[in-house]
Amino acid sequence: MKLFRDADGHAALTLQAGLSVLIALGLWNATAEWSPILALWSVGRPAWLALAPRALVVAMFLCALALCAGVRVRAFALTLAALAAALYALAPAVYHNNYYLLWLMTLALAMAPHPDHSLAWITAADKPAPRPWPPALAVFVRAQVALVYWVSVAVKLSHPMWGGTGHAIQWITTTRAPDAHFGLVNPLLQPLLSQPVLAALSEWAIVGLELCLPLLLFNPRTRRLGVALGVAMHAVMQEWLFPQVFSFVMLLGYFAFIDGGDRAFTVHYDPRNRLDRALAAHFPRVDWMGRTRWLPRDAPGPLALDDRGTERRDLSALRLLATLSPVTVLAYAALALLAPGADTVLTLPRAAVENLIVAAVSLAFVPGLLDRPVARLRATLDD
Amino acid sequence: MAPPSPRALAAMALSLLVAQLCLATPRFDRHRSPPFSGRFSWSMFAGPLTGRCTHELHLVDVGDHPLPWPTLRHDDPMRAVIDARTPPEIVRLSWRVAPYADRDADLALALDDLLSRWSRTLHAPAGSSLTSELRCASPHQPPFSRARRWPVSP
Repeated sequence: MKLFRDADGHAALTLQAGLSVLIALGLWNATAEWSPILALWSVGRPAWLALAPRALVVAMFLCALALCAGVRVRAFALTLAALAAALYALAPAVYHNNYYLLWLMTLALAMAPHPDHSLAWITAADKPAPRPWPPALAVFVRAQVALVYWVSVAVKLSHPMWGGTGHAIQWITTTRAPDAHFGLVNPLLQPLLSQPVLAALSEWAIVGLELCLPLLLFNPRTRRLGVALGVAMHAVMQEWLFPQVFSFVMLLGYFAFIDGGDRAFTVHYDPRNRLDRALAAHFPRVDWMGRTRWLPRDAPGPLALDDRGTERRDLSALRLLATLSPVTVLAYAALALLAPGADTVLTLPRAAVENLIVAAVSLAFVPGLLDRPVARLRATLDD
Repeated sequence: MAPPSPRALAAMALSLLVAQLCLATPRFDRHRSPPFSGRFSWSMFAGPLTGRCTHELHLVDVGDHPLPWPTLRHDDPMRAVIDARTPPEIVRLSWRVAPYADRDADLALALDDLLSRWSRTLHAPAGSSLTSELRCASPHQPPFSRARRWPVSP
């Protein structure tokens, strides 16, 4: 398998824009975590010095906004990375593994020679094909994703609390998760994962998955399986333990493995149907990877997507379309990260609300469950 | 600027990997507790400090008699420090002052820094002082304790 297969410019711009948004969301989310830390750091210090970390955070956020707007990406990424390093030097208590990963991605944005994305290109329905560009950013991200998984395996296999014993899983479900969040998933998993045998089996399953995922992702023939397994793993972990930024950086990183050789999907839509027209008009805006071609039907018919000779219709087609756009990952990230200081939403724990929303959306991904209702709904939108 | 060659790309990617491993490897100690505190390791389960520490913080007069705490705003960050006495409370506090600390002594250093700064902002009768007593019996570590006293100006 080729590590450095040329990607077309779509991958570069997708990663650049996607990472920029995640950096901004991650910083926004960090403000809630860092607030008590910086408050304690400021105790007993002169007022002007007490403001320094907060000024650094504001400057970092402004850089992140510039990244999102596609303004001199490499310069602002380098500046943001330097500001983050200064913040860590000033107040080391702000450190978190999640933000270290985000910082590495910021460094990659600064180092990889790519043309700047632009808001106009990101939002345009008719995107001009970017010129091919050596896949420096994609290479970094692929290597980083693989490193994250394999170092995690090394840590899990070498520490006595892991090492296949299941003790770590039991500790997580009985102690850490209940103490950290009020989500709905841990109460469901705890009766199972507190059992030593099931805890050990699940630990080996995670280790096996993390070991194999990079290999599945690098190989075009197994990439779809790798993405499906990885998305399932990260979604479950996110809704169980809320690692937040980490989940979304890894999910966005999967787009780095897609290259110019991956084929486009043809979508046949009915211009007489309002839903189809809206999708044909607006999905290309979020199809940053440029993997769909929309062709109007001559005669009335379903929304159909050709998937390796198999025709996917209506909701099945929408499921695949959702996985083709990085905006799906960014929307999930926004759901998790946009309200960092909120403990409750409509009197419910915020974590539980996120669980419910993700569960509702996940129902659409259960084959056959909602396909007929969606098809009937779509039919009502015929002109 | 000409795009980099595949060799240059390979060298950059490899450098990134090697640099991270160089940072993480020295902290890789299977006998260290807490087990997940590798600052540059990628286990997502970097949980809270698993230390077992208690903390007693007092403002005392010249005769070591307790004095009332000054009135603090409801959102004053030092409330969390004053109220953190039991091991679970100390664990929660440790995330704000010494995340990923390797040893109980690291937590003590962070507390000393914070409390010395705070003592300079307090005002109490002449001869008063801020006292702090930290006792730890954390798993896989020898017992640790330290007592500190900082004078408080009138």
